[in-house]
Amino acid sequence: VPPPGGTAIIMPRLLLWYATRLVNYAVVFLVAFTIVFFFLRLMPGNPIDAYVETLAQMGYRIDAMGETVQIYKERFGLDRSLPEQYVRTLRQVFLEFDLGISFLSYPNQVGTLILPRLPWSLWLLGTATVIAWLLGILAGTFVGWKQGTRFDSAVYAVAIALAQVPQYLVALLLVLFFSYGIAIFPSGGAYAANVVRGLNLEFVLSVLHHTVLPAASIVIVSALFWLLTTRALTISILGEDYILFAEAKGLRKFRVLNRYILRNTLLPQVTGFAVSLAFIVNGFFLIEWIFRYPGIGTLLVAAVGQRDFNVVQGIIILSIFTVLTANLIVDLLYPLIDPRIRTGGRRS
Amino acid sequence: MRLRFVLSSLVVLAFLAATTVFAQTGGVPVPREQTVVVDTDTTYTVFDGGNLRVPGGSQWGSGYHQLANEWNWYFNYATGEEILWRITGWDYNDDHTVLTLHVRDGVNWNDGHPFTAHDIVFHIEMLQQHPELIGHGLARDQIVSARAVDDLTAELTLAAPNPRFHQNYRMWGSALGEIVAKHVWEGQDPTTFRNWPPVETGPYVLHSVHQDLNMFVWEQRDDYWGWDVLGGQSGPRYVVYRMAPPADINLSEVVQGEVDAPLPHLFAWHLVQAAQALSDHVVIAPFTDPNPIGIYAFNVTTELFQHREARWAIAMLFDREKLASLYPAAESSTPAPFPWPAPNWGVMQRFVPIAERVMERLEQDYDLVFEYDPQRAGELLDSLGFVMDGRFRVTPSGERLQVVLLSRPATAMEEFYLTQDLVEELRNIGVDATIRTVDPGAHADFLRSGDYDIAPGWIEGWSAWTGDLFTGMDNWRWARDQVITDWVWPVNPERDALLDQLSQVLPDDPGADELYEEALYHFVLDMVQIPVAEKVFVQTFSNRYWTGWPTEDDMWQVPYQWWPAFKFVLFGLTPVQ
Repeated sequence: VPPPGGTAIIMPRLLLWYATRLVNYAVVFLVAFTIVFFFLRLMPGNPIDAYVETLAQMGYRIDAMGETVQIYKERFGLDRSLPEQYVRTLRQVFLEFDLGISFLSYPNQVGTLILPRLPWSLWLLGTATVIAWLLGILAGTFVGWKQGTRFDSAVYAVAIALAQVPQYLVALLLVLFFSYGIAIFPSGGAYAANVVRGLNLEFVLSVLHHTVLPAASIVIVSALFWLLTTRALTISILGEDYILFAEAKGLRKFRVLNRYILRNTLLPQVTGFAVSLAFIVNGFFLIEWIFRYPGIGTLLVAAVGQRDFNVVQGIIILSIFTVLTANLIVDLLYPLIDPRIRTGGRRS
Repeated sequence: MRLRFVLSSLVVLAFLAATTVFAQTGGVPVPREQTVVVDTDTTYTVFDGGNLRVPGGSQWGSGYHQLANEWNWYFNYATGEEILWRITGWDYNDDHTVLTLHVRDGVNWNDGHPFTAHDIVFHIEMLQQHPELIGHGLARDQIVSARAVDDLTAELTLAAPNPRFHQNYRMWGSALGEIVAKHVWEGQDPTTFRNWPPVETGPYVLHSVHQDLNMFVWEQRDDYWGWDVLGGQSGPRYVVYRMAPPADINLSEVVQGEVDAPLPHLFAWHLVQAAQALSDHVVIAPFTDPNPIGIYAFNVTTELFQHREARWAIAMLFDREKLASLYPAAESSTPAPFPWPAPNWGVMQRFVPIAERVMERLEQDYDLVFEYDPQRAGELLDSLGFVMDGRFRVTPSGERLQVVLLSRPATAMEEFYLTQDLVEELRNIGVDATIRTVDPGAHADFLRSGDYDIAPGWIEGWSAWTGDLFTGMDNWRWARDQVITDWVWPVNPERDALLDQLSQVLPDDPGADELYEEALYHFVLDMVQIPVAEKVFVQTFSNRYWTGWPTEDDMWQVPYQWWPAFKFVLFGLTPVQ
């Protein structure tokens, strides 16, 4: 049954919804960028001085380097005032779509450092995040449905305990057992060193094989987190009238679980999933470090250490972009998922 | 249902079985038994750079600096021996304004071109012409002109007399010594030229780079010019430099012989002990680092530390035996014997008698003894008018005496421990001491700001690098920017005059010992820096695949795998049959 006023009322409401979300997106992006820019620049130190200091520690004579240092400060805009640097960077990033030159890998562009690592982070963390979410949602719904049973109590206790274990600890235990105990998975790397990189079966299998342990480190802990939150949601849904009604109608248990419980737990979890998925472009430093995985996380840490503002900024901008875009997409999809948003809360 | 479960299980098992094949293929892309695997703590970001003259132009820890690039002469710091490598020697004119370098006949670049005096001259002129290049200031300010007398003789006219200018051509001497190939670099823009694969004179050439695996593979040159000098080809066919895993995994790898030379900074002492307990293939080569930990700088412009007695008071608050024994598990250490950077290296032994005489004289003249004595430290502060008033000391004007120590966070463990200890000792004698913790990346900025009283840290071992005590005493005058020097270099015209005089004298010159002694006397009296403990890196090696490493009992070469001199260690290795 169409709402009173029909689609003529819904469309302007929807357009306003979309417009508000898009404006929010732009404003939040600008504010986040501004915070990141000033946060980085207000930290003591800069890449040039850090580099000269490294040279001195290595035993190099750094006297008479003043002119050279000044040239590089000019080249990276570090000789200008902070507002001037801000305006320059704003123009460079948003109008010229240029993240600048990397100091770590001078004179290469920041993109040349980020792009080769991005697919690895996306692959590892994307795969792990999706698997963890699916497992967590399914298991959480099932455990919640079994609320009050011994099974529920046992799983809940184990999940509460293990969800607090740091992922790096799980990673270390997995490596020590599976790589050095029973030696069935490699301890690190993205693929075996003697495999030719390319679209061939050997390479694909090797990548899969090298993904198992790092992905498992993330999945084990993350899935438990999703399990716990989904279980709580399920328990709250179990008390709803429509569940009672469905059971009273004599529907099969599986149908109640699948159509009435699982679907209702999904909606709030989709937002969390979207945000988790967006964060994968940040990489995961500890996991990447433990497994020597060539992702974004290790690059970010190296860039922070060397005060390579442009690289840090580039990675964070990418992260802001994906988090905000993921949120925007979810926001834009909400009216399709939830009719209450479409109709402004009116009953159809 | 049961059939579906069985089928699913079989698929999973088949996947595991299929992929396990790859797990057993090893971690290097070249035959393991012909390879030395070396660990580094560097996150690689440069995979295509052999340009040492611009920031980010090359990747430290990739093996490029150790295996491909070469210096002109080296010290074997373990034995004190001088190793003339690409050059066979040097001469000065009488007033030390002209340096002549003699190039070894037969040295060639890895593309077959000969290394000549023209390369040396081209390198100097390139540096002089491009202010963007590291080393420009040095070449511009200190060299008037350079010319190749012939293919094997380069003549450098210096801007001022300097009998130590040849030190620039020693390992880690200066940018002048990292000479580029004229036939490769000529016509290129040196500020952007990548020099990749690198054309260098070293014994290894680039075999492959594995960006996704954080790994560089180097292959030995059959046509390396150095084989004639060494009397034959030797060492591993391949060397792999790769990013090290975390400690626990690294331990497993060392025990299983997957890595030959872990990095001591990461492979801590307790790991070394564990590895030795778990494997018969682990040998160790502990060696003293040239940079002792201690007081890196005082702010000598403050009311307290403008007085040398106050700086001596700080020196007397270090229980060096205790601090050396409390060193974090990563390293063992020994107390610093004298108040200047002087590790027990062969090259420094000749200065020990001089130092001993200086310490005796200071005791006789000023009753100053370089040993732990908090009571005497308190008396020195009393004598300056910084006396106790209740729990704390006050300044002569009656304000509470406060001292700020600049320290990097607990990640720089040795510095952090030493700082904590000093704060405790200072409080015990009534000084209100606090720590300002700063990020390592910002440490130089804070030093430059002068906003501190005491800066603990690593003391650069200039004396050890040059094998000349003079450079250690003189370092604040030329190694740092003037702003820092103004804060940390106490005014003492007599000492500076002696250093000026000494700058024209070499250790072997007649009468040099007396001059060194006088300069050192004033330098120690000023207590500019305080070495407390000498760090000993325990370099670990695996002899599962290779033997002949330097060891505790036979330290025939500096064992550090990150030094450019590591190639000499590689030359001494033989494969395990």
